[in-house]
Amino acid sequence: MHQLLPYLLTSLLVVGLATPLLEKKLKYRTGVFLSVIPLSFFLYFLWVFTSLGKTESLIIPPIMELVRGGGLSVRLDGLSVLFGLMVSGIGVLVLFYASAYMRKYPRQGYFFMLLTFFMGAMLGMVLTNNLIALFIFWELTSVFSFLLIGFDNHLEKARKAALQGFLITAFGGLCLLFGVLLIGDIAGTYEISELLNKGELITSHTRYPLIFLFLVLAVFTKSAQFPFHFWLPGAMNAPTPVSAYLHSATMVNAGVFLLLRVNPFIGDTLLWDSVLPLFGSITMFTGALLAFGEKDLKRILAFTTISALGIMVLLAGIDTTKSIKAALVFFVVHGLYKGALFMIAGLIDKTTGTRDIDRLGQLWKPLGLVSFAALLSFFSMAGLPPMLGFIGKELIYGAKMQAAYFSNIILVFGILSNMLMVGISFYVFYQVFWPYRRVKKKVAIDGHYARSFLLSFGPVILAAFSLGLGLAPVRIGKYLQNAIYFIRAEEVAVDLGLWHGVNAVLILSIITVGGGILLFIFRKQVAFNVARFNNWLNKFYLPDVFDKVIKNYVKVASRQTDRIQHGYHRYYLITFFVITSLLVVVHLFANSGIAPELQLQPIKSYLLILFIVMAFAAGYAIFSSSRIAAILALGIVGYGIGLVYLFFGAVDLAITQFLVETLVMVIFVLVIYKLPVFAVFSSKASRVRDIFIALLAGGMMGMVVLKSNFFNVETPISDYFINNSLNLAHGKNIVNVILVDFRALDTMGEITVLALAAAGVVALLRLNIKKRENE
Amino acid sequence: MNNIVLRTIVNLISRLLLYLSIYLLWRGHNAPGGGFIGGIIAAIGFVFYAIIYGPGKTRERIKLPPMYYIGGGLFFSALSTVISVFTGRQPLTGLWIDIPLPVIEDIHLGTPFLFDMGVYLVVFGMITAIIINIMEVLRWN
Amino acid sequence: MELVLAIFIGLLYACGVYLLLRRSIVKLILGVFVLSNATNLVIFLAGGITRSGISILQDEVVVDKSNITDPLPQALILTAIVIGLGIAAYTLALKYKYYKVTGTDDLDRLKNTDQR
Repeated sequence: MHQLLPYLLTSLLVVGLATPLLEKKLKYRTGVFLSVIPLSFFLYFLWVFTSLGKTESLIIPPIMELVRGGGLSVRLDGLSVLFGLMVSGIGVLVLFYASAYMRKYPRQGYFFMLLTFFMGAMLGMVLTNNLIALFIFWELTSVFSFLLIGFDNHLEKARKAALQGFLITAFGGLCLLFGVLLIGDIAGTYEISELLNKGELITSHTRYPLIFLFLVLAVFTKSAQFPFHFWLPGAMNAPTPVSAYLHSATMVNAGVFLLLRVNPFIGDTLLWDSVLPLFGSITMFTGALLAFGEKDLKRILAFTTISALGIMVLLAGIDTTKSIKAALVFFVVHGLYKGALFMIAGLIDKTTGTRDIDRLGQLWKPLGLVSFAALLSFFSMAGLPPMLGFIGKELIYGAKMQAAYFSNIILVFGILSNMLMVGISFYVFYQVFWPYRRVKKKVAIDGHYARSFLLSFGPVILAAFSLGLGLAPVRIGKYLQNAIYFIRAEEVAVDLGLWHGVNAVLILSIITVGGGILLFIFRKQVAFNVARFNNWLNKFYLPDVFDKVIKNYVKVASRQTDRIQHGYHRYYLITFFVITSLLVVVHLFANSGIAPELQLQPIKSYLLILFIVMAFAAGYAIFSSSRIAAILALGIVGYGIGLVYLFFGAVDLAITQFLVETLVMVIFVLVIYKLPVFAVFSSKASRVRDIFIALLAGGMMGMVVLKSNFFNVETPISDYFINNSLNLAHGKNIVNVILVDFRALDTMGEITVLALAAAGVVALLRLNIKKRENE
Repeated sequence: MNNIVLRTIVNLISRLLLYLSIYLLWRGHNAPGGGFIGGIIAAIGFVFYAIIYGPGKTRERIKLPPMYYIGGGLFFSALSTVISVFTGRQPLTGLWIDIPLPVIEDIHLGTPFLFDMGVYLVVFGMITAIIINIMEVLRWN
Repeated sequence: MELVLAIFIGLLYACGVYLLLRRSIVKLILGVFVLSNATNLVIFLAGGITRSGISILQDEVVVDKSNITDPLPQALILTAIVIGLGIAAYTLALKYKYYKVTGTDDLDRLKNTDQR
């Protein structure tokens, strides 16, 4: 059964490839049909999740090795299965949702293909047992995220946001690669299961800070931590199903997943326990505060997502058993309510045509069941009982009190940002749904979307889960033990409950809710002031700063390119010839001078005459103004070279040289009459310069030849050919035997080149014919 | 060019060159010759033919489009390199068989000859393709 | 002998380079062809010029194997010559197309990508 998992993952890829075809047949039902795959994943994970023992993990060896000693081995433990459950479960609902949402979009097949691929990459990432494979999947999620954010590629905003998100996350991906390679270098393995007990080795290594830096950069960029948070609100330009899936519940949590995954062998150090909580709390607070100043429903949700991610990074950084428990529970909590809220935001957008919370209003009745789901989800976001969010928040408070460093500051920040969360939850719900709010102008409502089953199915189910798990928290708690065992390497009994009696945590909760209500009452002032703060902040608007940096970089690069790649073919060649010649000549003289003891062979007089004739022919060719004369003169040179071959006993070579020389002349003559006469483009000075350069290059070659003649080259390979030609290859013509037997593979390549040359000539010429006929 | 004598001579020469090229291909393993030389010589015969009779006639004369010769040649060469795999040897191993004949010399046949034939066809196809296309596009004759 | 060969090859290279540096494309193609001929010659002579036996074995006569001209460069050059033919034809076709599209023979007009 478990052995089938890699195949199941592969099938995801295959189905993804086939999606455009499926879409032609199934039309808008594609999404519903595709949801079968994540559903089967979900059920499978559910089965694994409930059947895994407390300290048990399953490792499925790779089907084939990608690199030596490593491949896509699959690791099933509490952590990976928990993430797998969320990815596949929300995947099912998002596919449902998308099939209704994307109905009027062009290129739906492409969209579902990307979504399926993304799902595959995400599942691969959480399931893999190999850090290299984890890196590959990590980058794949970035790539698909890029394509999905930019899905509306006719909008400049979408393209820009997509590029920005991609540049940042891909930069993080590179950091991850460096980090992973360093880990592998130190530990000697990339398999997570083997790394688990090598923590001591890595954390005590002198390069540990570097590894930590790289991994943290990867996490911060992917999970939109301060100061890299700005790409996430931009990513809201994606179609809403994408925002609901990638940018709330799954991809942005990849960073958190990585933290939890590497915690056993990277974590629990001074760096880890101080840096992560610090940046986590800054992100947590910034996200919550900025959310208050936004008017766009999706952007508000994006900023609260940033805040939630900050909380998770903070919890992973505190690194106690309690905080890891809190992080896991909060991951589930957040995935459930944020997925639901994003889907609801998309539904509202479709129904009313706007996402501005000032223009929206009184949607409680028109949206029916969805309003109720929204209420529950907002409750969960605010951390109010009886939702799962309440349990999550209680755990978080408990964990924050345990923080090793500056726990007081963290706690204050935590309470403040939670107050803001409560305030925002009430504020948005009031603005959008509250039936008794006075609105200047009621928004028009498209009943078709408001009652769409596919659109409301997802949020309702997710809200139901939030509520159900909140009422019966024991269900989930029992199965978290395994995950915690593999993160913290200790066995704990996890008991979750709504009521723990009156204690410090409960008092904090009450204070939070009170503060949140206060914020809600003064919402207008708060929102106004935050918006002003936001405007002031826009002077250092990070996306713009980022844009500017990239633009300047490109400008400098292109200026450099223009300088080096000036486009004058001659000057490239001049640079090349002069530098090569000078280097070679200097080297020849510096080492030994040219051929100290020349033992010249006597030259036959007829050979000397031949050379003189050829030299004159070549000289005539280059200065002749008649094309045909130049070609014929070069033909004489070619024939002469053929005679030289013959003189040295290379019969085959001489024949070939004569034949080819003839053919080349024929072809030249055929073409040359259709071309203009030689024109003199260059000035006299440049011709003189070229003569000097040519003489320099020629002199260099002459010296090289002279030198190489006295190297006394050994010919062991050739001797082998000469001795074995007859008895091994049954041929007397050694040259031919080499061509077709000893070195047949080379010849195979060479005739392929010939075939390509012929194809190229035909293509070039035929292209012309068509053009002329068109004109 | 409508000179009847010229036409006849060229026709004859191109034929003779074709036979000569096949002979050179055949003996190439033991004496000067082989696929490259054979292919060029056969093609030169058709180049003469094309100059006198024009590219259209030449296309008819060589029966198949030149690209087919190239493809076929590549196929034969590739085939000869993998034949030995089916007999359980490494690819590219030369295999030889002797065909005894009563009157003339025994025929000694091997996969390298098949390979050489492929080379012959590719070279022949390449040159004819280039010449015919150039003549057609540039409107010679 | 060596000296003459070296001077001759140097001269051929000089001719080739000079042709390459012209702005006229036809000359450039001629230059490429001269260079490929010269290079073939260099490779051939790198096998040594003291041996000049035909590289074909005989049944009856015992051939002095040490006098056979190095067959390996020969095999290399043989294919190089034929490929040179292919390249010459290709560059000519390219040149023809270039002339048809741009109506000029001047290489400096090739500076930008979007001509016409």
